[in-house]
Amino acid sequence: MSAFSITTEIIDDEVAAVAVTGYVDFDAAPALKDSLVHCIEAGSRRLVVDLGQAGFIDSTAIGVLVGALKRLEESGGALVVVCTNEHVASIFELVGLDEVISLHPSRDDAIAAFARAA
Amino acid sequence: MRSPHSPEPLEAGTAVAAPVGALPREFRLPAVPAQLVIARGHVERAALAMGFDERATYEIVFAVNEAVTNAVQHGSADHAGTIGLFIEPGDDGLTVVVSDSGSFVPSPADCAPTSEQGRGLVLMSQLMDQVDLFPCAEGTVVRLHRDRNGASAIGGDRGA
Repeated sequence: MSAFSITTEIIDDEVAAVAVTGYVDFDAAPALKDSLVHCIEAGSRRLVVDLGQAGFIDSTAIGVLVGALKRLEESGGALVVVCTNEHVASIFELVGLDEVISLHPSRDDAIAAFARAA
Repeated sequence: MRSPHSPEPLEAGTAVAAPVGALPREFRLPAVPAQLVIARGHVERAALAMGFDERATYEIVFAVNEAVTNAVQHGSADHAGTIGLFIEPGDDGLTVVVSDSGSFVPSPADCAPTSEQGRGLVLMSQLMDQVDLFPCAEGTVVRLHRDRNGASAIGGDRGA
């Protein structure tokens, strides 16, 4: 598994995608938080967190996702996750995160979920 | 102040492939987040060398990562700015001990999906067969044990 990296793509006025690669641990969580906060403060109300290339996401990074979700929901926004790694999905299920954040097999599917919810 | 639970200082050796008996077992790691990847590597090599499958190894590594994260995040580093990692392969399974010299008192476990913290200990308990926390005057010791055989928290087969 490669080292942590993060990239942000602005999809449109409201939607942005933040893709992370590698291990999203306590060392990487602050960078993830910075990227999500930056998107929200720049006006994105719907965020896709793409974990398609992430092999690992720990409890601190899960906390970052929940924090961003709460902030977005306060303003009527939303946050969804792209997850293709069965181990990562299993951890989400163990902590009940799949009950509050929807998981999608691809970025297109995640963005389509926004359209359905709109 | 040195914790009586801390392993003796060892040279940080480079772990090699199996057999597990040839792998280093005791480490003192700088108490910084960048060492998490190092700790995970040591534990992953030990688990694989013992014959744990991919899923079981992932779960063990995940749980130990949470313990080391707690040590780095909440436990004050000892005078040398390090934490202890002790890996003990046994006939019945794998035991990993993480020690720091802080006074980490874990926040109450919060299982609510919308909680932003409090999942570390919950996950450790779900992914391992036994988790013991020893807060004491000298520091905090967390001992995690995974049986060779048992029912996975996540489901499906697991074990060595």
